Amino acid sequence: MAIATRSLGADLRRLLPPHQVFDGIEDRTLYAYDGTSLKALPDAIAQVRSAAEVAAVLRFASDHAVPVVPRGAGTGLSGGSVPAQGGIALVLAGMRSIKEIDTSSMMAVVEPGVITGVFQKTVEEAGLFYPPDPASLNYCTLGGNIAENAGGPHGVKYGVTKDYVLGLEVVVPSGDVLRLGGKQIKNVTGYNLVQLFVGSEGTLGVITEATLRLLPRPPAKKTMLAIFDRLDDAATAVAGIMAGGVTPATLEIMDQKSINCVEDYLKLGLPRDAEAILLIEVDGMPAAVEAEAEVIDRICREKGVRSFQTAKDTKEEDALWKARRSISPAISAARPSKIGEDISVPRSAIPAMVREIQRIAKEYDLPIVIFGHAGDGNLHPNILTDRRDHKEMERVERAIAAIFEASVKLGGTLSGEHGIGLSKQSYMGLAVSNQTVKLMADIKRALDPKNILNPGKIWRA
Amino acid sequence: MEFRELAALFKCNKCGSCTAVCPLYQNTVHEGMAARGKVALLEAVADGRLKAGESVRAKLEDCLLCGACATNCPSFVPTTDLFLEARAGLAKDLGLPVPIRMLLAALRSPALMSLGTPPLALLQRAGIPRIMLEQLGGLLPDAVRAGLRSMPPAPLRSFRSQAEHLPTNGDGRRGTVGYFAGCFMNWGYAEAAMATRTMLTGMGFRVEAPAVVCCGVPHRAYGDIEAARDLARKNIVALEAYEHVVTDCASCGAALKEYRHLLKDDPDYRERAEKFSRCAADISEFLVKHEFPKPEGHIPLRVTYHDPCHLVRGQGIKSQPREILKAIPGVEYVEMQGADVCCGAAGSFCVTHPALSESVGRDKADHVIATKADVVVSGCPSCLTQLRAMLAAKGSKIKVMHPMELLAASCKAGGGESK
Repeated sequence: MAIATRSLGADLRRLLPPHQVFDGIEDRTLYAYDGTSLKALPDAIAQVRSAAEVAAVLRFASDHAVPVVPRGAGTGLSGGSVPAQGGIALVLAGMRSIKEIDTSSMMAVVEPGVITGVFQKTVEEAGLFYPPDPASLNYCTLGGNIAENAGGPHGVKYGVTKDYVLGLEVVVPSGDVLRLGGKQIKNVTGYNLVQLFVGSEGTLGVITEATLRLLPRPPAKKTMLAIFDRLDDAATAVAGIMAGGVTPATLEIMDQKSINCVEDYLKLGLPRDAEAILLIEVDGMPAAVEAEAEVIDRICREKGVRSFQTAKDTKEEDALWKARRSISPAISAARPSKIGEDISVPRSAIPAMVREIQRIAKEYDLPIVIFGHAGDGNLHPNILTDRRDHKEMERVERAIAAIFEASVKLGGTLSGEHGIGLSKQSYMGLAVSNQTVKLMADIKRALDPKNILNPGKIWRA
Repeated sequence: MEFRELAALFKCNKCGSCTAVCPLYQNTVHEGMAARGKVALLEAVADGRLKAGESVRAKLEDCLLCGACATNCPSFVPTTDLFLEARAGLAKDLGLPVPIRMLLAALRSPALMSLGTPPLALLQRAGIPRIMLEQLGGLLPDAVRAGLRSMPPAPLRSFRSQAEHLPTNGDGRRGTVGYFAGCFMNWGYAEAAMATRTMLTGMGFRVEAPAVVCCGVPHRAYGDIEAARDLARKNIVALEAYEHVVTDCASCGAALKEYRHLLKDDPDYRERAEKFSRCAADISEFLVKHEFPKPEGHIPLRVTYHDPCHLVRGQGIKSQPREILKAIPGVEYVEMQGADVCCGAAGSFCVTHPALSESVGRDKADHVIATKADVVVSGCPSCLTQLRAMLAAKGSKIKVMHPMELLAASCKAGGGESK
């Protein structure tokens, strides 16, 4: 039974401490957006502090068929936390306690609102390591990372968020609080329901606690920068490094347009005619790091590298990272807006994909900067544009569709680490079959028969 | 409300970087506190989705204007400038509330402040505000309680009336300094202002402190731009004859350096403001630039430093105060965590938003206490007052000082020239 949205705030104030509920138009405007340009007003905002509060809100919402959109820090890049159909913005950012760091089992138990970077620093102080490192790690939340299955540069060696989630406490739309998995590294006790919720974009349940696996902190690290005249040489070097038995901790690529954009912005002295820069890091025990760095040096030289630098200290490391870290501000300085995409292709398809994107840029007359994670095939083409120019935005839309088509044709997919949310849902048909979408919808219906949790996301009904 | 900086609004892509550095967001986890939230509200106003009324103004005033968001924005959105512009637009459209108008009017009247300070100093010496806080703390309204604890230690005599009676203003072999005696330093921290004067005369500068008016920071913050311009013009007239204009208040210094932007559309003052702002310097910047003599008196203290927003971000002054402190023999300098994070005072914010101000101030006090320092130093009277109150509330005995007090003490102990 639907209720008048006017009374929604009042209803929530009966369920939660009143100062945790907001429904003024200003507050609704503040919870309408995420890190995309998409926005839709929620009818009310509920800041929650416990699983019990989440359960109370979900039971109420199920009874009254009100949409509930879970939200961490609202920094997602696919519209996942945008309340597309209104309803309640359920804010979990205030649940930010690190409940336990178990150094003997190398596990941590966290609330969903813990900031990823804060968590990383905390475990590092205990000699441990939490590898997933999305670019927004200083302000995104672990709960959001789990719901979107976030990745980052460490993906090539260490995998992504899903590889670290062993246990979850989840509140499902009925209001039941489920405890799934735990501190067991091996666990085949029925379906792997933990992973069902990882990457489910807030459509199946609300994560209120997570048990995360940790690694020992690698004692040594080495950073290298390789500049290639030709993109294909860079790509064969990447293949050679992996085939040579070395798995770098990060293996980032910048295309010629990125190099020029950064050069316009900072004048670092990067060669504008070079087609690719690889930024490579190895980590581990000191002797292994030395040996791996030598292999990388040798392979890059065999593949015709134009220049190869290895950082001798942290100051030089920062200098080598400077170009990669400056891409974002450099493209912000270049044009008023940027639309960042997140395709993922087999590693061997990277040069072909880069060339396809360059062709699309020419065809639609749009500057597109390409950078990303060469080690795992996840590329971020960024279209530099102006959101206020509606004519140009139409071209941007067509270019994005062309990029997705090219990615799927090369054996890739729509998103590596941002999720589908709202921004990519119209392209779902390119990457997955109708039967697969139907299965997803069946699973959602089983858990959320009233369709209250983040409705209208991932696929189109 | 119209925006001059509208294009800048649309550069914000809501990435969320600002949330990581906003002290208010960190304490509340509410979008409205962070810069991107305020930008979203202004976008909605610009698009006509939201009415520019009192509720929007209240949201915009939930801000320390500390500038951390602007400094850390990867897209270079000039957030603080945007918010000041929006506050000015709202002040024009809606007017300002009566208490704020009274405060701003009082700040425009040096005579009123001269009259008010001695009675305040006497009350403080009798311990009245302290007793009120101790006895009535829980019963007082938040704003009154915040007002009481936010009062500077008023001297019986202002800096200017003390300086007038000194036998000499210095020999002036290195030139003459026009000292900008800001309200807070003149009437609240006269001893620190005297220390500034001692350092300048000791270095061979003649120091004159002509009558000036408020620097205009509060007026600008509340959006009364015309009043800020009027004050700027008066201060330029008072001090433009000096080759050096020096202040020991972070906020005043930032304001004096901004006059060139504030008066850029005033044909009579544009060039004068340009020259004036170029001559203006913070005392720490001035001392380092003019190679202050190495202090010789031993001061065996562990010292930490808090960066005032209006120095570190407002004027880009970060190394100079540290260089001065490290030059003092015996001082063991220790850096605190988050030294450049706002202390929460933010001018009148500590009175208008006591709960938020105290939550930020408590974090700062914790970081000061963690250094195990004997003294925390800061070149801003507003910060000094907040640090004192917040440390006192935690029962800490750590002393709070202006850098010039510590430096002058060392010079005096070392037998260096003074007066």
